[in-house]
Amino acid sequence: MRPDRGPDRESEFERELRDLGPRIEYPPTPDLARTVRHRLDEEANEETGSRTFWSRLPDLRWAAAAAAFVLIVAVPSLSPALRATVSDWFPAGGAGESGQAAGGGDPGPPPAESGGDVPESGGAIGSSAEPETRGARSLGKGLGLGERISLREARARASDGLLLPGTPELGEPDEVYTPGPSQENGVALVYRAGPGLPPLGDTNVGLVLTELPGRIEPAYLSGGAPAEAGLESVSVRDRQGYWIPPNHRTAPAVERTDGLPGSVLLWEREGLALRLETNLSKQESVRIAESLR
Amino acid sequence: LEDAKLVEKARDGDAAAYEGLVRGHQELAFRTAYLITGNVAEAEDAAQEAFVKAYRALGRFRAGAPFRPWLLSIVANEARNRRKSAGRRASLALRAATEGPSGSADPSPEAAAVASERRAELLGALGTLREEDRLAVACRYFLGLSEAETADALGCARGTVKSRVSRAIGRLRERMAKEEDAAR
Repeated sequence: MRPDRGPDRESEFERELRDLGPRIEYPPTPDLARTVRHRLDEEANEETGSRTFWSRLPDLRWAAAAAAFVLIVAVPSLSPALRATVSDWFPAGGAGESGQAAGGGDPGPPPAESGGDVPESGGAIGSSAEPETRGARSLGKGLGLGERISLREARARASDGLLLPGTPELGEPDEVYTPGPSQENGVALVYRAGPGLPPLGDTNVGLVLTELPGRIEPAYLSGGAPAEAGLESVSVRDRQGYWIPPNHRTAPAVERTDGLPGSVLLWEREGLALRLETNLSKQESVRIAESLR
Repeated sequence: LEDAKLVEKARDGDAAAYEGLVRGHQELAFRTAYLITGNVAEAEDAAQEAFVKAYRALGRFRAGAPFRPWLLSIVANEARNRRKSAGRRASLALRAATEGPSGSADPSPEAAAVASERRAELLGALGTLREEDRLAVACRYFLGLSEAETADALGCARGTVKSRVSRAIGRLRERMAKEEDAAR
């Protein structure tokens, strides 16, 4: 009979593996500190160069501000014929943007990527008018959702596919956010409140769908297993999910988006831990959850 | 300076502080990338890019949180992406030094030779494991990462790390036992 190779044998292996660690011959580590510093210095110099250029042109900046004023405030008060003429002078940027904001239905472009705050060619008008426009339209700002990205970028990040609600009233999200640069950080899809989609708290957000690779515990739950803590079980496409009403206070602690005091539906699908935050009924939330594709 | 202070300074635009931070973590970052890509050039590129991305994302880094797991998750993601675009499986040919780290001494030349052979066999057996299991073992035991750090680096849950390591050790044990039996 073979001698017992149980737990003692296992710990012996662990010890052996630990001892092996310092003996592994890795290739020599390159001087990344110097290379990275060099790259960052170069980027900083380029950025400073661009900013210096603009800061040396105060008159141009005033002109840009004046142009933005004309486009946003003065143009709408002109007669249609005159408005068309002025729009011809400034074919892109401010006027169209503010029109979209008033409409409120268009998700609009995501904010510039890192480094995008450097004025681009012809960007004087945009760079003066954009922050205000963006602030007025940004739904998820201040909710701790991370950096805003485009839906296209979110799709590119999700190697296993991004799930979107298939219900006709939702479709594509108004905004998409990510808390970090890695695919493992997941994404949050934000939908504007509207008819049939009541706002969450004091925001204009009606629904947030968060998609993270992994399991719902520990992604959204801490302090105990959901089944043991008496979370209400629901079925989402025959898979177990959990329904947490807005006033849920018991363990396990449920991670919610900052400032969104709605109900939460948690479930898993295709290797993703999913969280739906709304002010809808359980049945409505499950219907949306089941429509994901 | 400790990481938290360097991170704080780097967030304020202190490039020298960030250089210090990189210097403190470059070895682990590079080795992690190497274990994933199995290629020196790709590991260097992945680690370098990860440090640059981490710098740009410092504004979103939660103050007071440990820097190392966060960095490792970026490094590992970058390394995985590079390996994926290269379209190949990482072949990890690790070798162990015949001499131990400074300060350790084998009892005799014979014992040293036996130990060295055993280490080579163990590394050989490790090479036969599934990639995900091998990486979990390498992160935990060779790089000395905690379970949580390994989970961050490999983009999986802690429970998954635990089960991969346990499965890996079980398979290593079986394989080494077979070799021992064959040698008798």
